[in-house]
Amino acid sequence: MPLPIRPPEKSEDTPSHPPRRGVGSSEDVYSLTLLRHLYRAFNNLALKSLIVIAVAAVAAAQMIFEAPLTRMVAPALLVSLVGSLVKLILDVFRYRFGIQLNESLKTLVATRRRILKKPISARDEAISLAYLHHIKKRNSGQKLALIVLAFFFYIAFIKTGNQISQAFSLVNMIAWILITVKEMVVEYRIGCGYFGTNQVEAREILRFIVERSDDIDFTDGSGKPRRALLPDKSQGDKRHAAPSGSGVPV
Amino acid sequence: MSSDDLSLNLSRALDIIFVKYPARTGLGIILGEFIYFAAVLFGPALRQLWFVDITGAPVIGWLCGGTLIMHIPTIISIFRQPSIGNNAIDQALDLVERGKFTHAEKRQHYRNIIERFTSSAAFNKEMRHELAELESHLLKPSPDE
Repeated sequence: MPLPIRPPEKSEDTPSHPPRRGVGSSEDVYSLTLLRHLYRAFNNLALKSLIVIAVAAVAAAQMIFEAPLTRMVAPALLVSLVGSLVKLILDVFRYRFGIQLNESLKTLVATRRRILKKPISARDEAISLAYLHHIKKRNSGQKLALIVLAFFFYIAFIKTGNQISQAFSLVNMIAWILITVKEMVVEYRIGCGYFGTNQVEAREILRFIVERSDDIDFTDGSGKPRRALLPDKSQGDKRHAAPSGSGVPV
Repeated sequence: MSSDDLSLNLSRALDIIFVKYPARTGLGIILGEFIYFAAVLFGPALRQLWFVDITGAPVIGWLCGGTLIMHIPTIISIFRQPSIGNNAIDQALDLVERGKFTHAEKRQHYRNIIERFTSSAAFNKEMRHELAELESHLLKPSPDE
C-alpha cells in the first residue's frame, strides 16, 4: 500500500516567503520595477532644487563675471545630470534596504495636514495624490528627454560651434524648467487643498476618475438619482457648509 | 492676492504657454524645425516671391509657428470645454457654471461633485491598487504629529 505523500515540513529557519521590503503587497507588485524608481528619482524635490540652484548660479555668474550665458550653461547641465544620477542611485539603494519609499509623498502629506488643519478622508486625499502621481508620470519621459537633449545639443555646440544647437539646448532647458515649475504649482495647490475648486481643475480630476473607473453608480442605492450638489448627511460629513438653494439631481 | 489665486494664475499662465501638453509642444518644435528645413530646401523657388521673404524668417518664428499649429486643439479647448465622457458629470458641471452662485458656493459645489463621484466610482484594478498603497501611507501617523 503506497504511503500518502506528505508535504515537506517547513523549517522555522527557512520562511516560505522572503522578508518583505516595503509597506504592503501593492508595493511589491507595482513598486518593485526599475521604471518606477526611475521616474520617482527624476521627480524628487532634491533634483528640482538642484536645477533651480544651478540656473540661479548661471544667472549670478552672468551678472558678476559678465561671462557669456551660454558658456555657463554647460556646468549647470553637468551638475544637474550628475545630481540626478547620484540621487537615482541613492533612491534605489535606500528603497532596497527599506529605508525610504517616497520622501516627496510623505512631505506632501505632512504639508497638507499642517495647512488644512481639518480632517479629510483618506480616500479623497489618496485621489488627489494619485492625480499628482499621474501628472508626474505623464511628464517624466518628456522631462528626461528634454534634459538629455539639452545636454547633447550643448555638447554639439561646443564641438561644432553651431548656433542652432546652442539655441535648441537653451529651448530644451527652458522647457524642462517650465514643466518642473508647473508640477510644483500643481503639487502646492493639491497640498493646500486648492486643487479642484474651479471648473478647469474639476474637469481634469473628474476626467482622471472616469478614465480609471469601470463603472459609476449615480443612484443612492434605492434606484433614485443621487443629488450631487448637496452634502451627504447620511455619512455625517460636516466638513463643508451646505450650499444655498436646492441640490441638482444628476 | 491669496496664495490660492496666485498659484491658480501661475498655473493658468503656464498652461497658456503650453506646458499643459508637453507632447504637443515638443512635436510643434519638431514641426517648426521641419518647416524651416523645407523653407531652406525650397529657398531658390521661394525667393521668386517678391511680396514675402520666407527664407529670411528667423528660426524662432518657425518654432513658434509649429508649436501654434500643434496646439490648435489646446486653443479650441479653451473656448469649448471638452466632454469628460460622462453625460451626468458634464451636466452637473454645466449647472454649477451657469447657475447663479457666489464664488465660494461654486468652489463648494465643485468639491462636492468631486467627492460624490469619487465615492460612486468603481475604480479599475490598477487604480484600486494605487489608492490602497496611498491610503496605507496616509493612515500612518506622520513623524511631526
